[in-house]
Amino acid sequence: MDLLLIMGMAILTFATRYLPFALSRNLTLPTSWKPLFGYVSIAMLTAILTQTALIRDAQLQLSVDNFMLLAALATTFCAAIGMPRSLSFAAGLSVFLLLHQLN
Amino acid sequence: MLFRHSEAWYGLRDTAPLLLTIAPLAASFGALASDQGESPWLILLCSTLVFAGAAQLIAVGMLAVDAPLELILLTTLAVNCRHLLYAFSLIGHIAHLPKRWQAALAFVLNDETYAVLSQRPPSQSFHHYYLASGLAAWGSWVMGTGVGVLLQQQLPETVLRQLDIVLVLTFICLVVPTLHNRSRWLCALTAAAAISQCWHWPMGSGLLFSAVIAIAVGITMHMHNQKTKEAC
Repeated sequence: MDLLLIMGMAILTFATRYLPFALSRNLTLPTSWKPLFGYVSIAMLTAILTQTALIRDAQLQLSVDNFMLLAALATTFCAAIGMPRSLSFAAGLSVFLLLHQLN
Repeated sequence: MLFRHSEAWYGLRDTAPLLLTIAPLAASFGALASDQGESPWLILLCSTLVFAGAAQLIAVGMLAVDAPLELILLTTLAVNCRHLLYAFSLIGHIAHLPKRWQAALAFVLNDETYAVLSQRPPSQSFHHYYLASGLAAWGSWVMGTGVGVLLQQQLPETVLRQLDIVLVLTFICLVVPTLHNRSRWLCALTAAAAISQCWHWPMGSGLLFSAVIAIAVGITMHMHNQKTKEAC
């Protein structure tokens, strides 16, 4: 790792984050597009969390041995039926810790 | 106004649980890079200036196999493409701000901060909320890297990896309550199904592909529903 690599990575990372902001003054987005941006967060966050929960040791672990997956399903169920965030989180974490204790 | 009632305070408060997932990942980066004989100062400088978890971890792996500089930079660009999507979706909150604010907010944009921002309703002080959240994440990333460099092998990898559970559960708690119609559910399910098939694609392209496909499916369904409503 040298200074050139670090500076290169820093500039490229910043550029991907800053470019849309830099263009924002000259870019007028139709108001009808506004609800569509909600799909960006849903898609990106779901992809990240699914990847984190399902990929263990560089393998897809779609089985009951994957406690993170079971905990995720418990939290998803609780959140989907309208439980408050804190309780949904606690439910998933409880499942995760309980399964680890029993294992 | 008291700090505890300010947008900056709420930004810190909402981001706090996610710092538990950032710090271990940063510690893994610090330990891994240090284990490969990299200078502690360069490792810390990298986390301070780059602040891109996935790209930094991939870069360390590529350095271990003597990958050329150009390829590492290209990979960084590909892995960070998702930030373009994040930034585009935030334009409405950012466009009126001075350039220096925009630059500062762009620098601290990351997955965890975007996750909390996407839940925050627009307000006059949205940028304070954003900056506080981003700086908390950045601070956690730099400090976590320092801990990783200092402790190196003493960090139990299995314990660090299990902390991912906080990220998974928190993201679910953020996403699921926003799935209030069929097109949003379809978008989420598409993202989950797609990433389970293309998670192994190189340079994080599977993640970006899954998100783009899911956004396309969600928006198509959304527009179809709008047309149906208008026709009725």
